[in-house]
Order: sequence, then structure tokens, then C-alpha cells
Amino acid sequence: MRRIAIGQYVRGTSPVHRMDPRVKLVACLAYMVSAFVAPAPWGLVPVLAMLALAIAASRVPSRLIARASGPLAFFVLLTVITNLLVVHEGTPVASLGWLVVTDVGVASAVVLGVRVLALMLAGALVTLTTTPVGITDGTERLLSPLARLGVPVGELATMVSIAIRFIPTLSEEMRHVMTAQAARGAAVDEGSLARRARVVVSLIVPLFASALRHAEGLGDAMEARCYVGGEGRTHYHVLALRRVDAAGIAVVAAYLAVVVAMAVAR
Amino acid sequence: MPITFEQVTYGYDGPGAGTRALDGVSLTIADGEFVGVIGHTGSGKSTLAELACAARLPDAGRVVVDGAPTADRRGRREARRRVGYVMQYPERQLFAETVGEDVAFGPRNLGASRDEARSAAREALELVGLSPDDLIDASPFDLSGGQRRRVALAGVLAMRPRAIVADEPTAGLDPQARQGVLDILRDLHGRGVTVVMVSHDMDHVAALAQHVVALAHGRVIADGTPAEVFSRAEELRRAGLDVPTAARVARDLAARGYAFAGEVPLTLDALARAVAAQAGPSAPRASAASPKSGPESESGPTPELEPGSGSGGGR
Ligand SMILES: Nc1ncnc2c1ncn2[C@@H]1O[C@H](COP(=O)(O)OP(=O)(O)OP(=O)(O)O)[C@@H](O)[C@H]1O
Ligand SMILES: [Mg+2]
Repeated sequence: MRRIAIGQYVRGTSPVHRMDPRVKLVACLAYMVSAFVAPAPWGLVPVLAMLALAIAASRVPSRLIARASGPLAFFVLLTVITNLLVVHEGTPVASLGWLVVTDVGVASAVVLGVRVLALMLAGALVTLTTTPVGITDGTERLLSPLARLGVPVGELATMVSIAIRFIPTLSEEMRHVMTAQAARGAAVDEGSLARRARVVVSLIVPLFASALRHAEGLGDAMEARCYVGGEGRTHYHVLALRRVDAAGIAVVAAYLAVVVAMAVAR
Repeated sequence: MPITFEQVTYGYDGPGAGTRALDGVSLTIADGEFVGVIGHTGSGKSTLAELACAARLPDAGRVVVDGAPTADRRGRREARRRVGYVMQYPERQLFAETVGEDVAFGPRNLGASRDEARSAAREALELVGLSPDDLIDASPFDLSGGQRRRVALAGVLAMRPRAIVADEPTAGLDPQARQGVLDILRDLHGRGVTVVMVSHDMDHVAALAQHVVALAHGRVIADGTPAEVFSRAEELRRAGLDVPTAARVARDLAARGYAFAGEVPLTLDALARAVAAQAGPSAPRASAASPKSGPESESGPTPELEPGSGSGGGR
């Protein structure tokens, strides 16, 4: 285990980076829906074109995009394989015992694979170009109407952003503890079940202990700076729509219009 | 137990990618030696420590522990068994309900019986200066910071390692606890255990190490006896490192006309002796200090030297 990549943000100054997180989140959501309603096969052309355009505009190296979406490739593969094996209409093109692959199956597997891939890359692109703080701030603003219904949106957003903030810290500490316990002869992949359980305990207890230690420290630090939750908190980074956002909205709106038109025309 | 690094390269982004935490490092740690590893923040000290105890494997080059490269399965097993690893803030590895159980964890994992492990635990607790009778049934989470660090050290020592690699073992301790940890390491070294100590504190290194390795940006910039390494003050300064307090004071004194014959004093004891020798016959009280004027007092307590070079705060 070398480095854990969760929602890794890649610094940059591209138009995609500079866009308001709210715009990115809504655009991404709309895009994800569109990737599924776009009629196959021609509807997938604008879907992929939009993705390619967004990736190009973000100037994130494709190597990093591949790495960020690597773990998700498993799901794409799973989707494709399930589809290949489950669809039985059409003419068989290959068979192995009771497993039959038909031409319709292949076509639908490819189409679904492309849709899922587009979905995941769009999500990855947002996390690659938006800071975790940006994502939580954006989400908080978008969900703020729910605050009127009594949902503590602000507190939830703070909690989530703190949790995200501590993932690298805790995983780094965890790694050290794992190394230390392994040096004491405790490897998770060796020995009897009882012994392995003991090894897991030797990792979990320190993890909780350090989570509590950090929580206590952070709690004190926040209190010392007079943190109070609830209404009326203002933001250090004020979200405001700018020219890039207008341009982004225009492009995405045009794209959605095309996809909707194609879906309706069918 | 000898440990050698041969052109070792290691990067956290995988072989050949990203920056290298260690870059072409070669060094030899002889059997029974006390080695101090120094270097600025991010210079690769911890990475070196983890490679030395086979917790990580080199991307290129070899780490050889007791004749067997850690890249081989057998060599790795032996290295992990024989080289104790004390991580930074080792008290974070404590997990068991009682001190006794925690310290016995290692021996139990190596296949010792319950009784054997318990007696190894008692022995290790004594080694770190804790009374087994008082503490063996206490919860590790009820102890003070310094005691917890000792318990964690005992957890490593209970496995009777032939070499021990300690990553900033005194970080975040008060001066007294710090001195305690240093004394434990000195004591282990006296028993023939090879000790590798990563430290930010030049005074600790000067007081204890026989061999100093200085790192900068993943490369070895100096490797030799403390006298050799610390004589290169200018190079060390450029690498963001300092020299021991005594050497700094000696340099300032030299600038004001004191002449130090032979090696620059590295510990306050040595400095005091050198200054006393200069004060010579003209200063009547100097003779009071002279009876102890043997070469390098090996046995005396480690001088605890604070100024300037504190080894990290926080907790
Ligand atoms: N888990 C990790 N993932 C990625 N990079 C790392 C990791 N640990 C260390 N590094 C990088 O490797 C280099 C060497 O780090 P290392 O921890 O060995 O330095 P160090 O000399 O121990 O520093 P310090 O004095 O701060 O403890 C640094 O550039 C650091 O950023
Ligand atoms: Mg370190």
C-alpha cells in the first residue's frame, strides 16, 4: 500500500478548476442522467464528446484520470460481463456450456459499459478539479433549502468536510501502526482465525484511539476560536458565479439540449 | 547484526515514478554499532528506517540484513524477526487491555507459550526501567506519556531483537522522559544490540552514536564518525542541519582566541574538559575538574543538552 487516492484533488488553473463547485456538481449530475437517457447508439456520440471536451478543458493529465478511476474500472467490467451473460435475445455468437453470448448481448454490454464509464469519469473529473472544501461548500449551498425543513445542513457539511480532511492523516497513522505491529510478528494474512482476529484488534484499537485524540484536539481548537454551529455562519470563500461559470453553463445547456432533442426525436 | 544498503532507491509513487524518497543510498551498519541518522524534514530518514527493518522493500538496489537480502522471502522473514522497529510515537501501537498483554504480543506472535511470553514481558519491562509488579496489570491507556513510550519500547524488546531501529524515539517527550529513553538505548547498545536511531537532535546523536549518517533529499551527504561528520559544519548547515551545541560553543570560543587541539569537542563534557585544560594552571579551580580527565568518558550519564535543538513538540 503506497498512497491512498480518495477524492484526490489535482491543483490547476483551468476553466474547469475555476468553475463554481455548485455549477460543477449540478452539471455533473445532469450529465450523469443524460448519459443514461441518451438513445443508443448515436446519442452516445454527444455524451462522449462532452466528456472529452470537459477532460481536455480541465487539463488534468490523462494518467491521473486513469489512476483516479482505476478502482472504478472493476464496476465497468462487472457491468459488461453481467450484460454479456444475462442477455439471451438475438443470435448466439459464442457459447461455453450453458453460457451463451448473443450479438444483442454484446451490443447492450458495450452500450451500458460506455454509459457507466462516462458516469464514473464525470464524477472523477469533479473530484479531481474541486477541493474537498469546495465540494462540501457547494453541497451545503445546494442543500440549504432543506435547512428550512429543519435539516442541519451546515453541521452535516462541516462534519463531512472534517471527515474528509482526516482521511489522509488517519490512513498515514494507520500505515505506521500496521508496520509496527507487523514488526511485532502480527500480519493480518497469517495464522489461525483467533490470531488474525487479535491482529485486527491490534490495528483497530490504535485507530480509534488516534481518531479520538484528533477529535479532542480539533474540538478544543475549534472552541478556542469560538466555533458555534447553526444559522448565521458566513463563509471565508464566498461562492459567486463568474464568467467561466456562465460559459460552462452555456456549454452544458447546449449539450443537454442536443441529447434531449435526440431522445425526443426517437 | 550487520545491515547494508547497496545503491538503494525508493519512491512512494512506485518504481520510476514521482520523486524519490531515497536515491542511490549505500551504507553499512556494522554489528553492534550505534548509528545516528540525521537529516532535515522529509530527507528520507523514516523511509530508511522502514527499509532497514524490511517493512518496505527497495525499488532498486538491495538491503542486506545479516547476509540475506530483504527482497527474498526468507531474508525478509528473518529481518522482521531480528530487527526491532520502534516507530515514531510508538505509544500509538498500544492496544491491549493490560501492559503485560501488550508487551507479550510480539513473543506470542513468534510462537512463545503464554508463560514464556509473560516472562519475556517482565524482563522487557525491567529493561525499560518499569516495575513489572506495579504495571503489568495496568491499562496502557492510564499511564503517562513517558511511561507509555517505555511500554511500547518494551513491546519491541520483548522479542529480543538483535538490532533495533528507532524513529525519533524521544520526540514529544519532556526532558526527563527523553533522558530515560536515551539511557535505555545506550543500555541496549551495551548489551551488544545494534542500534539505529533517527534523530533531529544533534546533541543526542553526538552523545550516543559511534557512526553518523546524514541525509539530504534522499541522498547520503555525510557518513562517518561523529567527529568526521560534525567537522563539516558548513555542508551540514547548507543541508538544514546543525552541529552539536558543544561544537557550536567551541567554534565561538575558537573565534575568541581559544585553541582546541585535536578534535572539536562534541559533548558538553568534552568541551568542559577542553576548556579546563586551556584555563590550565592559572585558574586554580580547574584542577578540581581534572581528575576525571580520562579520554572520552564512556560510562558517565548522557548529558541532557537542550538549547536550540529540541526534538519536536506537540504530543
Ligand atoms: N506515505 C507516504 N506517501 C507519499 N510520500 C511519502 C510518504 N511518506 C513519506 N513520503 C515522502 O518521502 C520523503 C521522505 O519522507 P520521510 O518520512 O522518510 O522523511 P523524514 O526524513 O523521516 O522526515 P521527518 O523528519 O519529517 O520525519 C518526503 O518527501 C515525503 O514527502
Ligand atoms: Mg520521519
